[in-house]
Amino acid sequence: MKTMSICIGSACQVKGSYHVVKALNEMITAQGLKDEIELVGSFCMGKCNEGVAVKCDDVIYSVSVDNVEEIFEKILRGN
Amino acid sequence: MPLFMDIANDSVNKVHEELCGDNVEIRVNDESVIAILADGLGSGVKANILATLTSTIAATMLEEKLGIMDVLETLEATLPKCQVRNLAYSTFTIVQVFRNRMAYILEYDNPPLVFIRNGEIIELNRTAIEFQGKSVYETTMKIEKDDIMAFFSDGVIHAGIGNCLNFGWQWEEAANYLLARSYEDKRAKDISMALIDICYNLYGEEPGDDTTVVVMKAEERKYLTLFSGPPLDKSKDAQIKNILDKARGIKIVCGGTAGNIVAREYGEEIEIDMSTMSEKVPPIGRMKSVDLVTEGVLTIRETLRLLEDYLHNRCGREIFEERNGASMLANYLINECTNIDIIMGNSINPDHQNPDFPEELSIKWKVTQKLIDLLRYFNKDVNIVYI
Repeated sequence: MKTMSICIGSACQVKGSYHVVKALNEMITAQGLKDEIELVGSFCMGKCNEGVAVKCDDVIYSVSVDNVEEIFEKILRGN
Repeated sequence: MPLFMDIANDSVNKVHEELCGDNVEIRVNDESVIAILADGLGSGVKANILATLTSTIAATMLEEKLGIMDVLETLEATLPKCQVRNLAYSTFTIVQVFRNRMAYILEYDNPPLVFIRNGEIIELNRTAIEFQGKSVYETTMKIEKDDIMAFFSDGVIHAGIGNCLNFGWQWEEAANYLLARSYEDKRAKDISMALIDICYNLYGEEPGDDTTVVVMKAEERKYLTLFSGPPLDKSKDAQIKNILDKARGIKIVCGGTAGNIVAREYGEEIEIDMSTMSEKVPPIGRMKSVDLVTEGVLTIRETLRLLEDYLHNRCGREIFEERNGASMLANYLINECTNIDIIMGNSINPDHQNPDFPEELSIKWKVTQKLIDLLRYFNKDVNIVYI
């Protein structure tokens, strides 16, 4: 079980955390990973400049709507 | 403990008039709350001047603790005489509620005040004072929690004359309408807005007279403390816990960093409720010692927008019922408290000052100020604690 926390602070929200959460949820459902990955929200991680900040296994990734698939694959491969 | 007076007033102008011939003056000070409704003779500029003079003079004199006879004499001597009718004339209703819960009511020629207690309209024990051949009615009584006092200009009871009702609706009907509203509506503002709306409709959206209502509701004080923005000096973080520990009533934290600080000081975890996420507003957080944790600037801005829409009657109470941070915050601020303490830190998130970022992030301070102004307009007792 992996936990991915997505920053939903002001800056990340403006940069599209709502859409990132939606995209991640869709991918998790599509790939049937519901029991393996848990999405949680988190307030500011102090990476406002690099948002949307997504944290998994203590690594913070800078995710946007455009690269969300790529990063998701990367995190899965690291598994 | 003095009761909190929730006061609201609404008006519609006579059709084609830019100015309202009724005026409401509200004064709140340490000793008492004064609300005055004056209805100037005629309409338009002249009526507006008469009503404004009457209400302002009376409010100022009462605030300075002058006797009622002095007030009446001053009004009589000051008001300009109407050239058409050769009368100096403005009707008025004065309600003054003191800290010791005594209410003083003075009525002159306006429709009688509607006093609602325990779900019933009660008759006031009025005494007539004679003043230069006219009768002014005075009432002194003790008010209780949840009492509602509503008073209005004659535009209310004339609503509908010659339009959908032959003789308008009578005082009894207007009073019963207020009584019915008092069962379901919590805030004075809801009741006053409802009454003015129905009058406007009875007039067929072309009011034949200036129509104004004032609603006062006595409530127990309910407290809310809102922590918005971390202190500039990090060593003060611990003080926040002290303040929140001492605070009575509801506790709310607005801001991600502010939330993190509170969670750290209390040694608790914030749990984010992702189901409250929406495109406009980030989701809310929950933690044990605090009633609500929300994101900062975006949520406050959305709350402000909701409240402005509500104030200008562009939407109804449904704005308080949605499941998102802004709606919940609005509900707490408007419906769940009378006194609000806002703890404001001066710290600025340096990342938010990035010129590439949208402007809305750098304006938290400005948005919070606007919210405070609006809450004061909603008659909340707002205190700001800078830290």
